[in-house]
Amino acid sequence: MKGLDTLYFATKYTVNHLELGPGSRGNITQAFYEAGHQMYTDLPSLKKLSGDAAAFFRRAAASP
Amino acid sequence: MTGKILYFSLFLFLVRGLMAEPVLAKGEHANPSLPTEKRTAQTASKGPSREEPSVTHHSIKVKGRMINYTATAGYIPLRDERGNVKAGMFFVAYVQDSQGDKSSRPVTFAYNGGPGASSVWLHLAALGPKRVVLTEEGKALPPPYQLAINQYTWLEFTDLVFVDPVGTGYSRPAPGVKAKEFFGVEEDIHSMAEFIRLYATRYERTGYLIFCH
Repeated sequence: MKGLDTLYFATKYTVNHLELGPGSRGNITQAFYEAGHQMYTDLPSLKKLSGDAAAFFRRAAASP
Repeated sequence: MTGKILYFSLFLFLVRGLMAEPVLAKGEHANPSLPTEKRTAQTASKGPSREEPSVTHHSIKVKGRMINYTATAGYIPLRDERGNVKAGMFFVAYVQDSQGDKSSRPVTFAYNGGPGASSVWLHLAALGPKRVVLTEEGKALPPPYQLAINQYTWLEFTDLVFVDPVGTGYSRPAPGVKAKEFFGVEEDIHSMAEFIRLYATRYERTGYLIFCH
């Protein structure tokens, strides 16, 4: 669920229409939060966001 | 390690090694001072760009571990091709104190979409070392407002630079410069990219950059 200014399907549509090659497509990670657009106002979502970001940073640092 | 870009649903861009050799703009110095005539104009109109940054030191305990960090709040001036200040971009940076090599420590530039929003929510609710205490439903509490240590701060794994796009927060166009010069997708890209380039150069963080929008 997202706010009305950052629509869920609009985001998916945008990512799906970036016309990326197969090599770049795998670089995209998507994560979703119950609290939506301002996910940080909800503590469980804030925690998940931090964990997702930490994992993203670790993967990015590890990849060549 | 060249030009790697990753993308996150939160609109995270990662570029590593892209700015390995930053190019200084003509007349740009590590600690920029304005030409004399501009300085007078800035002083007279209380322009935002000349103020020295505030630098303070802090410690927080996150998940049982101490994080010592330095907070820097200040402005970086954007200049036109003649060197005249176009705008003062306000930032608050949190950098973990360490003796080690900074080049392996990521730095994240965090900003909300301009021209609509400052970086205050990312700063004081989501990523920063302290956050505003809200109700369980995420609503504001009545005053006095309180800050608490953010147990989920990204400072655990990245340094953070919060930036206000021009026209939001404390970032303002220079006197005589129209705000609408900064309002728009292309304009936003240009001013933010310029800020990141100048910050990375001034603070020598050119090895490992992450952009969060």
